[in-house]
Amino acid sequence: MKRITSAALVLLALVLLLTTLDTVAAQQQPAYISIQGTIQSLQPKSGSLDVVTGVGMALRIVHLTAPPSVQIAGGGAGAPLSALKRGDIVRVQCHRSGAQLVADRIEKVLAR
Amino acid sequence: MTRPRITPVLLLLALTLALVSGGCAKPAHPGDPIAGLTAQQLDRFRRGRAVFDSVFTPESGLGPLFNSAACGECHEDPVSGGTGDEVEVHATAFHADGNCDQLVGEGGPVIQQNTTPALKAALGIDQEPMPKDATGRGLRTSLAIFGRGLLDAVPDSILVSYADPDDRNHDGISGRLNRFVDGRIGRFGRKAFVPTLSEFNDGAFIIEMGITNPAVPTEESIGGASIPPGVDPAPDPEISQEALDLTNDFVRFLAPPSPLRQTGAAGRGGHLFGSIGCASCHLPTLRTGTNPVRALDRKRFFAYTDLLVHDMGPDLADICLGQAGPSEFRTEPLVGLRLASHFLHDGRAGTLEQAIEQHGGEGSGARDRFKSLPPKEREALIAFLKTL
Repeated sequence: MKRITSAALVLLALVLLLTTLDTVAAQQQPAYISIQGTIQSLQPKSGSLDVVTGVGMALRIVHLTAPPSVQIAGGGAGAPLSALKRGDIVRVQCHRSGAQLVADRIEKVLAR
Repeated sequence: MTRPRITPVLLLLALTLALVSGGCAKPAHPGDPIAGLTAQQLDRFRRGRAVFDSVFTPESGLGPLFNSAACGECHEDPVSGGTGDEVEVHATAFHADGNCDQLVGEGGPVIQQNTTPALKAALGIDQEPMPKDATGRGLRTSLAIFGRGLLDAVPDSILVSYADPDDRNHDGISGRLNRFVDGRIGRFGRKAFVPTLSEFNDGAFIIEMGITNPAVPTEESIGGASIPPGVDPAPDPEISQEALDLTNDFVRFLAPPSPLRQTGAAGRGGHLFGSIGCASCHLPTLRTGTNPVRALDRKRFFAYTDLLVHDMGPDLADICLGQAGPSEFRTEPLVGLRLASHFLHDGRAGTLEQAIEQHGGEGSGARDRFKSLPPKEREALIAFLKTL
């Protein structure tokens, strides 16, 4: 009886530990943000781009960094950042890293 | 499908609509709500008008850059939602590769003409500086905004069906869709840049009055630079979502004024409007799609626009915006035209005759046919326009 109780307690502790770890992992995962707009400028060498978004006539520039790992969709498989150009309309999936927005995936929605 | 030909059947339909709106049904006067709103919607219309007419101060969020202190300051004549004598300044850069730079990084595309006392004290400026990279500067008069909710409710598919960018039907008219920065089809503003009425209004709160709101929670830059600390003490957002929604409902529910009776010369002018080609772009009627607001649901209404941009020739050209080039402008809806005293996007025309005569590009055919009409027929056409 005592052995069964001990086993149950160990099991309960394990479940609690796993649940906590899962919660911590979820909290540490970056929140993804989706931005859709027009490429204002592009610096393939430094891996960055500016996208114009906005509401009505109130337009804003969003600065994004694009690491080498960024996926470019709609520009052909494995396309580099330089496959995009100023005036292209793109949907960018990104996450926040400190004060920066980091692009994870850039999809060309409408070519200039 | 391309734009509908203005056949006798369509003209009859328009005339029938004129009879219904001007004769059988109660005519809508400027500032009236559209017919068929529920009591709750009418209440929102009235409360929204109060927000529309609210005068903001620096303490309640005005500025630090602004064009006017209230929506109703620019849209006031003869009632809230009407025209105004304010003229605003837009600036963009059109590049040789066909790209349009809205100069967001330099404070564009709207260059505010006023500053609050606190901003003036901090920077010594009376207005936002003109972007140094601007290739074009455009003046924009304040329009009447009656009937915009109906225009908002026309499905995109209708606009797509009217577009004929390559002039496949060889009528000399090649309307194009403009698109917002995110690729959606635009329809509001002189360049048909903004996709929806609510977005236009949400943006207008910030660009016209410097009022941050839940849809645009950040102030405009000052020529691309941040606002100096301490000049905008009101906490953001400076109006609530409810105030924003009420304003949107007021604008959305503003009825297009019913045309006046079109008898005699005006009646003949209406026929000429179709026969000389004005109606090729200024389509007399449009139809809304399905809409949760019953009063906006599947309604045919007078519009006198196709909501597309057309090349209007080099003399009218000013700025690019989105995918519209400097010489491309949206076909102006002629609803409430009788209330206007200046015409064309920048108010350069003091009379309707001058406005027609300054049409160029795709409008030059209709313009030339107008100019070749006998004086009595020209007068009839103007008499018709003055009933709208």
